[in-house]
Amino acid sequence: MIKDKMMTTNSLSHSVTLTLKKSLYPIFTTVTILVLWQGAVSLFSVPEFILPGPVAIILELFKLIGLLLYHGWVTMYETVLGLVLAIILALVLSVFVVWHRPVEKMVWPILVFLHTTPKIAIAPLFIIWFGFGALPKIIISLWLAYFPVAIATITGLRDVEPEMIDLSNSMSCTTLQTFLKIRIPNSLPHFFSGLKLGSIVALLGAILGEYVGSDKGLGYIIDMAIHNTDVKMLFADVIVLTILGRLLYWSVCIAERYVISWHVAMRVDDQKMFSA
Amino acid sequence: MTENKHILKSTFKKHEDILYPLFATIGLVLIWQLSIFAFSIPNYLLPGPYVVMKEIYAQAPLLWGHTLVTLYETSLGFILAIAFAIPISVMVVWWKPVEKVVMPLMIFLQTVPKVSIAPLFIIWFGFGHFPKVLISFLLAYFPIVIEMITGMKDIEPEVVDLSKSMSATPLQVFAKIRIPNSLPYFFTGLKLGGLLSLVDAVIGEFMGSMEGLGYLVIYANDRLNTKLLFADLVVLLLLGKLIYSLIEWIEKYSISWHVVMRDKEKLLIAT
Repeated sequence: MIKDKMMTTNSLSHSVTLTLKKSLYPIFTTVTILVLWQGAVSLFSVPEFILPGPVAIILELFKLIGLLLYHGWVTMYETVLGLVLAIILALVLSVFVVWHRPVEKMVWPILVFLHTTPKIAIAPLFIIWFGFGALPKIIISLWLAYFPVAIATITGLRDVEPEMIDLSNSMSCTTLQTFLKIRIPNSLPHFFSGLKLGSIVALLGAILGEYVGSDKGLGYIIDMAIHNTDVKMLFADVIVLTILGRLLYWSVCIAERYVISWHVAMRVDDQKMFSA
Repeated sequence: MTENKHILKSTFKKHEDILYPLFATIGLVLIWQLSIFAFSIPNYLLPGPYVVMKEIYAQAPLLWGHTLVTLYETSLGFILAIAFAIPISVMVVWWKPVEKVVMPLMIFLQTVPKVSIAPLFIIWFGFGHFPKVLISFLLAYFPIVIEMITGMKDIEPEVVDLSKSMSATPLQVFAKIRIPNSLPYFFTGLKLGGLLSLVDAVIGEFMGSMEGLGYLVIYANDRLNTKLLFADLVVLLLLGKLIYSLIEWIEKYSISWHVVMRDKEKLLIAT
């Protein structure tokens, strides 16, 4: 009994040391780089408009936190709205495409073609069409996020193992049943991997839309910081952007974990989840 | 008569994969042109396909010049990214401490929206080609490295065990097992990286430049010259497609022996 308990405590402390050991290297690397950065900036007295040190950036971040949070909220709002619209439209198209074979043959090559082109170049045009408000940014986010989500979902709905389809046919399932019980569950991991990519590009689209023409949002702050050569502010802005991007990505990961925890794909790369 | 119909049908079946998207594209272009006529939409809002084609023809020398600039920046950034990505990823897989030091850093850097760094490069390095090459390099670099590392590590343990039991040296394991296994991943990384390096050369040109297709987008946009903007977009689309197809073509010929290439659909998902 006592020995058992000892064992558990031992293995617990062992796992704790293991985690510590694992995070030791990254922490060490990060600290070294920050110290080198700060040291170089102080030593060579690099002017702040070229490269501020980490300390100055953190101070700036605290000073501007209210401003950055407000603009971050605007960017987040545009991104999430664009992403949600992209999901809805992509799902509608995917179901339609998989249901009708000729539609698939017409739409799929065009989707793949557009997916492999620099779609973002059209962003300035959306500003002409939809003005300087939130709408063009939402549409740019939607436009960028749509393709990865749609392509992944269609692939997932379509590429079911033929044996499964045969089985369901031999058990006289209707097309609807096959769709609900086999195709849709099969498509979910694909959908989420498309959504992860989509969440990244949606944020990118919103930022670029704000950069091209806006008076709000973190992309606008970038534009402002450049015009004032305020590199400190630019760095503070980038930190907030990075955190927002991570938050969005993680929420997709968490949603994935909850929605398809039962799925084979999740059980296999459970440990890969947060490493990407 | 019926025989003729039959032949027509079978030829249609044979070229189905080309004909369907062709019809869809022609249909879209026709609808676009007709709605321009029907609602008499002015050119500065949305030019019709015919006008855009004419503009491409009329502005061909201008577009060509800017295309060369963008292509130069993109390909230089892309080639640099490949040149740096291969040794780094080999080192990471070969040597454990390097992995522990480099990987967290890479993962962190990958999460930074690098587009927001682009303006900084403009401040540091001015309005010339160099900042765009650097942005292209930075964006293409990460997918290639990550894919290559995944490819070299994603090996069935049995294969490594087998080679060890046959007393293969680590170098042999690397050359005969890890590198061949990583090639399809490498090409997936290349496709992603090639596209990103083009996108980011264009974004770099958006932010501060006097040349290139991205500059031309902003130039046309500021003058409400939507005709030119569309002509530019068409050229950009074709350029992106060209780069992508080129990588795909190289992949097809260089690793045609690989298991993965026999199931081409799967690769499409990965990209």
